[in-house]
Amino acid sequence: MEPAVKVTHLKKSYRQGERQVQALRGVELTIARGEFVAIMGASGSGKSTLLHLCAALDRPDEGSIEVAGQKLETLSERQLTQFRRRRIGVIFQQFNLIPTLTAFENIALPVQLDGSFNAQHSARIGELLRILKIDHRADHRPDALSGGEQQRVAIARALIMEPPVLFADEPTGNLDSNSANQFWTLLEDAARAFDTTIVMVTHEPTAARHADRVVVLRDGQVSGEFAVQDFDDPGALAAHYQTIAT
Amino acid sequence: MPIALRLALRQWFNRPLRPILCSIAIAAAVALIICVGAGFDSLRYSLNTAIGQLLGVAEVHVRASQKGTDTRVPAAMLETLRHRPEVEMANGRVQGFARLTKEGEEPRWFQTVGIDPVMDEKLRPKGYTSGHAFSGKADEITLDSGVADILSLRVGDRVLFNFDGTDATNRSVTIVGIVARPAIDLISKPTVYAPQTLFPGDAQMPLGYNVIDLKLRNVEDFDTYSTNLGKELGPAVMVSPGTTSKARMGNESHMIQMGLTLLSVVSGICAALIIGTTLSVGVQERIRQFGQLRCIGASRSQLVTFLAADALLLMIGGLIMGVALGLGLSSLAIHFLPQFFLAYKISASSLGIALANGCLATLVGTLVPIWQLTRVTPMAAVTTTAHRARSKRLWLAAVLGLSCLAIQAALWALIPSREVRFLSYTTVGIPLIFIGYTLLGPMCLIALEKHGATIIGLLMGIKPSLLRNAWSRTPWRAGAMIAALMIGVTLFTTVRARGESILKSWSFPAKFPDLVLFSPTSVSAKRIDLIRKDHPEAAEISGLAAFPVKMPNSAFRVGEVLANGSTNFVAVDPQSFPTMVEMDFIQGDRQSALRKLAEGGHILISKEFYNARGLGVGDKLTFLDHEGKTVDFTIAGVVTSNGMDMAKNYFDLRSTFQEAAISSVLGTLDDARKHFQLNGVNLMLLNLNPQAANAAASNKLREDLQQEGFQSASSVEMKTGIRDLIQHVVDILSIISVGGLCVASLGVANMVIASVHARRFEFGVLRAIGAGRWQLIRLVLAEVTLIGLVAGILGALAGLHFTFMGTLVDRTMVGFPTKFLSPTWPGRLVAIRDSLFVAAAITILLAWLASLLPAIKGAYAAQRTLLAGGRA
Ligand SMILES: Nc1ncnc2c1ncn2[C@@H]1O[C@H](COP(=O)(O)OP(=O)(O)O)[C@@H](O)[C@H]1O
Ligand SMILES: [Mg+2]
Repeated sequence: MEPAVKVTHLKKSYRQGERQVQALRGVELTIARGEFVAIMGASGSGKSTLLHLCAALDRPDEGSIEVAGQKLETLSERQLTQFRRRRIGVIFQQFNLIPTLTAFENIALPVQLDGSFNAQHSARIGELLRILKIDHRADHRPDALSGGEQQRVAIARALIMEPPVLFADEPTGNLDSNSANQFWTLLEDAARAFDTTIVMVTHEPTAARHADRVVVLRDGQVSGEFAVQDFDDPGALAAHYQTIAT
Repeated sequence: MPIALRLALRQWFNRPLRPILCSIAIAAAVALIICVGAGFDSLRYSLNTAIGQLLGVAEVHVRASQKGTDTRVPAAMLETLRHRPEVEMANGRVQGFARLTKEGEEPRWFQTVGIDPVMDEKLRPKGYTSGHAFSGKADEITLDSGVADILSLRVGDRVLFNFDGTDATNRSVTIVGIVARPAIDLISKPTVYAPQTLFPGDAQMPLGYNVIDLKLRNVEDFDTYSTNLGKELGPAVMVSPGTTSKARMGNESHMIQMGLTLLSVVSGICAALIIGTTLSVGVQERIRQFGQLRCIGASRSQLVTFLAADALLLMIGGLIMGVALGLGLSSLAIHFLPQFFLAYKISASSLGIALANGCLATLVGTLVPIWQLTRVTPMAAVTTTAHRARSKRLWLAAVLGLSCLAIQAALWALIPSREVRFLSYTTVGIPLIFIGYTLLGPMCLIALEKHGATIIGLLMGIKPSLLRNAWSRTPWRAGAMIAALMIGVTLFTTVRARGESILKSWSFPAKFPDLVLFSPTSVSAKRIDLIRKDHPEAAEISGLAAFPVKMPNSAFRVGEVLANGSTNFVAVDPQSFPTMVEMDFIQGDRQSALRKLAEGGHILISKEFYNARGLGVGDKLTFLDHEGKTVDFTIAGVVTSNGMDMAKNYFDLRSTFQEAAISSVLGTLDDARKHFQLNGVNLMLLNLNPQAANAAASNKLREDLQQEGFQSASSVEMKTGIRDLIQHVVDILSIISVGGLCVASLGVANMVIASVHARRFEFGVLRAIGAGRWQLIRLVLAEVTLIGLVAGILGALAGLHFTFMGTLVDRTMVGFPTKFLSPTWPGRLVAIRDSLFVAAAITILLAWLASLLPAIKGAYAAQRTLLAGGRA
């Protein structure tokens, strides 16, 4: 079975004024289907950059990315748009909902962009709202929702097209610990219901405990990885992570 | 509902103020055009109806060939024409003046038309308020209600009637009918209708017809027919289609159409700039949102449809509001001006132009935002891209602007041919000047922000450092707003400065007759004698006639094209005229020039004529006489002639049906009689007896003459009349340009809303650390002051530039040299300073007014936004 995500020799640099910053210096990464992977690393280690490239939000300088069976570097602009719409879901730290649309409408948006909204989708949104425990908030606008609720709407929106892979960049970064815990449980439930591969960026060891595997980045390179189940104790996991990350 | 439309609608309802302001900008542009269009359409309809009443249903008119003369078509020609197979009906009319005496009252003179009662009713049907047409018996006449009112006459009354003003020839006639006057008073005079048999057929006025009306059968193209008939009948007569007057109206409609086009362009550009900035602000503000949409799979073209839906809503709102506003305002205006308009009319094409303008403005305004939108990547969702504009580009724009100005100056200086130079100025130069100053806008704004912040901050009582970042993040948007404001400012300054230049260059002659009389029908020498006799308070009367003459092989000259291609022949009495009107001889000495003039075959030319063509004493000028043959005149002198030109222009300006000519030559009445078949005069200069030179006597004289069919004006009236007229035009155009400025200030309001919204956190923080609301409001006003100052100064500079170019055009093309603003340098500097000051003051004031509400709203919202913690 081919992997959900396969990254080889990925490089990306940015200009910061006069300076050239190497954000990624040759990342190698393979993620199997159905896996839940947490990408960890210190601030500035290149986690977000890696995620953006995998989610086809940006183009790499070098290397190749294959997501859900598609080699991104071979896709045209139009195909990339299709890819974003149908093959992946993305969740951000800033919830990034459209403020003028209700929760329901925000969730329906990707389907409408695809031009295929029907009763089946409506039912699926209902199901997602129920799983995510926000069915009573369907007609509210984002500014009337709490942060946790907004992020759950974002999960629903990311999953509505039933993408094989879901990317999330520090999704709980703006949530309190209660909301964060609830978020993780619900995300796991939803992902299981739709059989989705999850690639999540975080720098919190507590969040990483929900994943199957942790990949650690340092200075734009993979500096190590480990299986979460090897650590029963969160403190031990955090300690082990620290040794790889620094 | 399509998702694009839903997003647009939600956006609109979410933050309604800005889209509404933007729609109002479109609406204002549309309404402005509808108002002008409706005014024009209604005026055209009214005039055509009135002219139709006046001229009747005749399809072709035959007149003696020379305009402004009293030559008649021989009576026999009526019979000849009547017998032509294609002529269904032919009707001759005689015009003159008759004296009416009501029992026991002073006699009065009126314009009188001799008609064939049966034919005339058929071709020029008249409405009777009482009575009926006369039967053709020699002792029956009809009057129009104007005459009836003046003499308080009714059907059945008898009056004494004669043509030569002597009691001996008086005949007693009965009034059998009162004719309703044409719908618009302005174009008709009190008129008496009499049988043609009453008109004398002496040697002075050979019996004949002033005009013969023809109604044709089986002829469709009256223009061609008229041309052919004219060739057949020879040069002594002039044949014109019955729509001639309407065609003249067409000439004016051409001018109004050009005005309409200018207005459309100006208001359209304004609206487009406002739409452009508003939508672009919307794109910038929602750039994260758009990036987010890209992340979840929206394509570029989908983003563009979202924006298009936005624009579509703005446009529909604007068009609906604009049409309602335009129709409402224009019908109201026309309702309250019944003396000019018979009915409210608006043509489909006027509405079409207005709507098309609104659509086009939206389309053009959407282009830049669309371009910005297509550059939105998914990464916009995660990275904030609020970077400073690169100052290199600002410099580039400024250099480009200066180059535009330099290219314009070079074109003017280097093109040798006057005509090509003028054409290049109107087509390329004018846009270059405006674009040039516009491109300087962003650079000037940033420079002012940097270096002027201290002073403005001090004046407005805020920290200069707060002011230094007002626009540097969005210099292009601010530049577009400055451009929108500049259109109004430039127009305003140009109009006022041009008006001032012309007024300052216009000098009134020291020696000028007490009264100038004007008659639409020409006046014979005999009639002038009668006026002298009847009105002893007139010491001197000198008749003069001005009529256009053609030159052979008239080379293409822009000055002439502007003046309708004709030269004015002013025919004067060589004895009395020079004593009544001041003339300065620039070339040739006075005595010998006047002697030669009296001899005949000589003319004096005006200084303007001399300037424009470079002709002087001894040179020959060739004109075409009434038969189309060439006549040579020798130039006897060059004179400054503002006296005589003014007399003519004064009445021209007021009379819609006269063509104004720019260059005049001055010859004798005798020569005019000999070569151009002039039989009477239109203008008379009149000096009062010293005993009668008081207001009461001169008013009495003028009132009497008025009823005899003469318009009159005193020298003071002419002086103020011309000034008032120029002032009037200046005022109307100023109001239009301030209107444009108001529309543009809607855009400023929009931009302030955006900038306050973008900095709501900054404002919130300022509030939190103790800034008062009033301080925040002052901060916003100070920022707007920067925009207003730059727009005001640059706009005024552009306006002064146009004015200066105008004086150059006057000097080289038109031959009426005007001074730039003032004849002297100190005056000029004062005028420049005043122009800059007024422009800046008005712009800043309007910008303040426009931004006060958003500033207050922002200041009050700042704290709330901060507490809300960044949601929304
Ligand atoms: N758009 C950008 N422009 C310039 N530099 C960037 C940009 N995005 C990221 N970087 C730089 O690349 C490096 C990696 O950033 P990022 O991937 O955001 O790290 P992380 O998410 O692990 O904190 C950092 O040094 C950051 O400053
Ligand atoms: Mg990051």
